[in-house]
Order: sequence, then structure tokens, then C-alpha cells
Amino acid sequence: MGTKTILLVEDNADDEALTLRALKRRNLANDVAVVRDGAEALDRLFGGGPQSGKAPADLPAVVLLDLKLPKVDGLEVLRRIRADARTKTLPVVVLTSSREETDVVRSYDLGANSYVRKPVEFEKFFQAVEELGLYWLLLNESMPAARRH
Amino acid sequence: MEGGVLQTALDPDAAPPGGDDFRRFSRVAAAGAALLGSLALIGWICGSPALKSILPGLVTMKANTALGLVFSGAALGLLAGRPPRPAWSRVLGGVCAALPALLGLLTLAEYGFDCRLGIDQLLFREPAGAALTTHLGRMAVPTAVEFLLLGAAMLLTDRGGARRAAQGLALAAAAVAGVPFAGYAFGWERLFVAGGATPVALHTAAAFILLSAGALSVRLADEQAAWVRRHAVGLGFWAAFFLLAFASVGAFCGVRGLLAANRWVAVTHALLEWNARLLAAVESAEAGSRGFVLTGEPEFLSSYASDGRLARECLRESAAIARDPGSRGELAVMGTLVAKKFAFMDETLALRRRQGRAAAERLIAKGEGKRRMDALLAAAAGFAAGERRLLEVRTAAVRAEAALTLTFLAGGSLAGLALLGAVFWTLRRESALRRLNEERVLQLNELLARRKLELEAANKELEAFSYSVSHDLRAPLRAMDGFSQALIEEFSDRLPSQGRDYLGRVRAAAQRMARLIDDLLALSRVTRTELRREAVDLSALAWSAGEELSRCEPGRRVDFSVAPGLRAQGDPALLRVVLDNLLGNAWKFTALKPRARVEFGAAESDGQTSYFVRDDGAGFDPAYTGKLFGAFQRLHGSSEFPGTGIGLATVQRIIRRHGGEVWAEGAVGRGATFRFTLPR
Repeated sequence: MGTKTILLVEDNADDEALTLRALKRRNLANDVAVVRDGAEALDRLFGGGPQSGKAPADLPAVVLLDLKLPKVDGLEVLRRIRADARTKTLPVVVLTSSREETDVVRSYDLGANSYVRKPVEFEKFFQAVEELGLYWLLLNESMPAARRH
Repeated sequence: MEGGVLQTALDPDAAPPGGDDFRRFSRVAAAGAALLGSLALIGWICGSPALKSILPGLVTMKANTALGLVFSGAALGLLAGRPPRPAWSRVLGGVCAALPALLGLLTLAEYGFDCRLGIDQLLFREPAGAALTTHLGRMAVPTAVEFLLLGAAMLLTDRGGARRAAQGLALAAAAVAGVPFAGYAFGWERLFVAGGATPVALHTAAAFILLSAGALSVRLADEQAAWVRRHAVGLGFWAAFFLLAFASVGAFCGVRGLLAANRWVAVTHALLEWNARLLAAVESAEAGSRGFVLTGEPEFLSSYASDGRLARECLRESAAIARDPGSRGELAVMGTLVAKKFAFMDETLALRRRQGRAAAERLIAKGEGKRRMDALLAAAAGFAAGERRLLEVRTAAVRAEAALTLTFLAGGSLAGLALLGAVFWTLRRESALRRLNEERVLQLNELLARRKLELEAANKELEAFSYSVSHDLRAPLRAMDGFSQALIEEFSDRLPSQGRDYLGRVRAAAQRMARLIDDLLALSRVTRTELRREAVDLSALAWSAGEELSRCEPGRRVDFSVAPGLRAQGDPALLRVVLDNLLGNAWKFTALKPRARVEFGAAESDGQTSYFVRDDGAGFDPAYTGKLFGAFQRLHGSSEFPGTGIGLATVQRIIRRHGGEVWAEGAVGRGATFRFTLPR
């Protein structure tokens, strides 16, 4: 996983397809890694264990995290990301269908950078990406990919 | 409920309303009064003084009074029957109550106009010389008044709104009956006798106390009965206290009277004795003087001087203790006679010494000395007879006083003790009941705590459910909407316009469904979240909601006004939902107007503030006002005004959770006004 990749944590195939489509329309879908549950996401980020983890260079540029996930849920994944010194500053955008206030509050409490409702608010997602200063980071890399079309 | 403590303990006075037990008391009292009257009537029939006047020397219960008591008792007994009373009972009861009242009225007329109507001795003839009676066979004035009061009370008892008046009359009757009763106890009856009027008989007063207590309690209102039950123990203690105090004071007065009467008996005895000694002294002096006249021996006169001194001393002592005016008069006469007798004897003795036996015998033969002695003897005998008569009267008075005192002491103490016993019994019963109640309260609390846990579990389940709904129910909708959009965006060139229209409809339906889910979740959240209470600036909330609405629809021209400084106590987040919904509705239903007015303000009525949101939009048919606040109830088609029909249901739930009310006024085409209250 390179610095310019996006890690999408999503268990619903429909949502995955829609998200990828939205990213593609913004030319951001060149390097999206998709995992299906929270455990897999943690595995991808930290490898086998906390000590055998990868270097910060191997981390994705941003994590798009669904909250309702099999095995380990999104909030727990977020908590673990923020608890680890290496991933403490990793941008995490919570992507969820929930509008429950508690979900929003707890996500921000745990240090989510942004909270985006899917899929109608994808515009908001791009806005969040811009605000996080990642837009150009992601876009730069994807420009050639877009040209390849 | 916080803490789960059950505040309302079980009512220990869970007696039937209206007071069945009080009516039972009235029946017992009625029976007691009728029994007293019947006993007196039997006394009149058999001529038994004990039944007529209870104690010798007391006034009798007149036959008319006895008859009146029997009738009054019957009337009260019928009145205290289990409702509903049959017609015959009402008629008979009325007659039984009216008869004694009429008797009382006629008697009062007799007293007032000083005439005889022939009712006093109608049933029985009272023998002449009856104790303490001014008119033979006629009941006392207070008795007549009592019959009037009680008759009126019983006739009024079931006359619509006159219950209070009837109770007042019964209370007055109790007061009137109490006076002679107290008089007997404290010895005041002498005052009544001194006044010259016939007093109320002892058992008559007792019967009237029973009757008035019965009439007072026969129709207790629920709240009166509850009050008496609540204060039963206290009332019982006070009644026992007063009864015992009454008995003690009565006994004190009685014993004092007894001592006084005894003293009079002793005085009479002493007077009789002094009288006898006086006669003995005079006779001894005469015997001495006769012996000296016959023999001339001075030895015969050895006790003559001391006899004279003794006679004078007897007279002096008697005069010192005699109080009866008659006795004192007789004593004065006797004093003169004794002085005359001794003067004659002195003259005879002087004659014997100067002129010898023959001259003295000549003087004696004239008979003056014998006449004087006879007069003295007759006076002494008359005095002794009078004193003996007084002794008889005074002994009888002692006996009567003793009997009365004993009666009061025993009766009062027994009644007081019985009341105390009843109070203790009630206390025991109540403490048992309280223990039982405490146990039940504990049980209920336990049950409540269990219910609370169950409820909390159910709430948690519901929360999990709605969380799941919010996530999972939306996912398929998202897919429908998203892929329809993808189809439109990516294959629009290959889709006919009808196909695009269908896809548009699929998207609209999916979005509508999503909104429905959102609203439903919001509605359920209102009841699930804990209610906070703090000062809320409603004006500021309304402004912010209005601004958001105009931001969402910048093209609309709405004159939005908010009354400044409206504050209330409540949950800011939930009240924001209320204003969002009400103002949102106002915005929505004025959409067809080129220039609309929406207003938020407050009005004061009956000291309560109601807040309102008013618009001049489409309004609604007032016939459907009741349906406005039901979930999913809509008065307009979705095509006309979009919406899910959950907003007002949410508003109502929030306001009700705050303890307020929400209602709406409006007419088709004339706008709508939604008002709500928030308790302070």
C-alpha cells in the first residue's frame, strides 16, 4: 500500500460499488484497497501485531471507514487507529448510513476527521477530503490514471 | 420513575364510601333512645317510679316525652336504613319524625301562652306532688325544643341540599341535650329548680344525646366520613378524656353535695339532742323547786342554778347551729318560754323563803307555772317534730345525692373505659394494617424495581433495534437510489425518456422511504432520550430554525417574525425539533402563496403562557383537527405538499413529555395556528 492509496472499509458490496463509482468520477479510484470487515482493516494497517507493523510509509493516505462492520466494528477500528502512535494522525473519514446522533458524537470523540453520510452526501465527502488537505495529494497521483482513460 | 419508591401507600381507611358503618351507629343510637322511651312508658303503665325517674327524688320522664322518644327513635332507625329507601319507609319515617316535633311545638305553645291544650295528661295522669314539676305531666321546655330540632333535622336530612342544615340542627340538639346532663353531673339542677321550671329528666337527656349523635352521623358526606375515620383514634381519645373528666368532676361535685347534705343531717341530730337536754334541765329544775316548796330543805335546790345555766346553754348552742328559718323562730319562742318558766319558779322560791309553804302553794295552785311548763313542752315537741321531718328530707337528699354521684361515677367511668378500649382496639387494628401495608409496599417496590430492570432491558433492545433499522433498512434504499442514478448518468443516451422517468420515480420513492425512516427514528428517539430541563431561549431557537428554512429555499418570500425574549424551561434539543417541525410546516403550507407570513409568539390566558406558530397558508379543515397529531396522518396529498406525516406526532410527543399540551386552530385556505404550552 503506497502513500497515495485509499483504504475503503466496507462490507456492503452495493455500497462498495457506489463508493468506487463516486471516487472514479472524481478520478480518485486509481488505488483503492477494499477490506470487508474491521478485523481485516486492522490487519491491513498493523500487519500481524502492534510490533510487526509496517512503516508509516506503507500507510494509506486516508481511511474511509464504515461504522457497522462484521467482527470488529468501525468505532473500535477508529479507537485502535488513534491509540497507536504510528496511525494517530492518519486521516479517517467515517462513512456511514446512520444518522444517529450518538454515532456522530462518538466518531468525533474518537478523533474522526470527518463524518459523511453515504451515498447522497458524496459531495460532502469530497469537500471533507479537500478540507483535510488531501485532495491534491490524492488527485496528483490520480491525474495520470485519469489520463490513461 | 426514579428510585422506584412507591409513594402512595395503601389506604388504611379503605372503608366503603358514604359511611355504612356510620349508618349502623345511627341505628344503634336510635334503638337506644327508643329503648329508654319504651322503658319509661312501661314505668308509666306499671306505675314504677324507678322506670319513670331512675333515681328517687328526681324529676320523671313525662309520658309524652317517652312517646316522643319512641317515635323519634323509629324515625331515625328508618332514616338509617340501607339505601335506597322504599317509599313506605320514607312516609313512615316522615310521620315518626313529625309527630314528636308537633308534640314539642304544642307544649311550647302551652308554656308560651300559659294555656292548657289537654295534651299533658292525655295518656297517663301524673299524681299530684310530683317532684320538681311545675305542670303535671308536661314535658320540660328544653325537651320540647329538642323534639322540634330533631324532628326538623330528620325531615330535612334527605331534602336535596339541606343536608348541612340538618346536620347543624342535630348539632344544636346535641348542645341543648348536653346542658341538663351537665347539670345533673355537676349539681346545677338546683339552679333549674330554683328557677321554678320543670327540669329535663336524666334519662331524657341521655336519650337526646343518643338521638342527636345518630341524626348527625346518619348522612355523613364521603369527605366527612373520611375525616372521622382518619381522626378516629384522636377523636376517641378526646371523647374518653372528656367523659372521664366529666365523670370525675361530676363525682367531685356529688361528693361535695353529699358531705353538705350529711352535715345538715348531723345538725338536725344535734338540734334534737339539745332539745332533749333542754327539756331535761327544765324538768330537773322544776322537780328541785317543787321539793324545796314542799319541804323547805335547801338541799333540793343544789342543782337548780346549774339547771338554769344548762337550759340557757342548750338554747344558745341550738341557736348557733340552726340555719332553717322555721327552726330559728321556734328556738326563739322556746327561749322566751324557758325564761318565763324560770322567772315563775324564781318567784315561787322567793315567796316560799319569805312567807312560807302556804303562800307558795297558793301561788302554784293558781296554775300559772303548769301553763308555762305545758306551753314550753308543746313548743319543744313541735320543734322536735319539725326537726325530725327535716331529718327525713335531708336523709332522702343524702341518699339521692349518693345515688346520683354513684351513677355518674360508674356510668362515666364505664363509658370512658369502653371508649378507651375501642380506641386501643382501633389502634391495634391500624398498626396491624400498617404492618401489612408496609409489607405490601415492600413487595410492590420489589416488583417495581424488577419492572424497571425489564423496562430498561426492553429500552436497550429497542435502541439496538432502531440502530439496526437506521443502518440496515437504509442500505438497500441506497443501492436502489445509487444504481438508478448511475444508470441515468452513465446510460442516459441509451435510455428512452420514459425509462429515465421510471428511474427518476424509483429514486424519488427510495429517497422518500429514507426520509420516512429518518422521521420514524426521530419520533422514537423523542421517547427514548432522557429529558433535560433548563432555561431555553425559544425566540433564538425560532430565529435559527427560520433562518435555516429560508436558506434552504432562498426563492421564497416569507415575512418571518419572532416575538423577542420568549423563554421556557425544557430540553433545548427537543424544543428545537418542535420549532423545526412547526415552522417547517408553516413554510411548507404557505408554499403556494407569493408572499407568506409566518409568525412565532406567545399569548397569556388564565395565568398560563401558550406559544404559537401562525401562518397564512393552506390551513386545514377543522373537522380533522383530531387527526393532525396522529403518526402518518396527513390532511394533504404528498403531491400537494410533501411530507411523511410524522412531524406533528413528534411535536405532540415532545410537548407531552414536557407536561404541556399542543393544539391547532385553522380553516381551509385561512392559515393555521399551532399553540403549545410548557409548564414552568
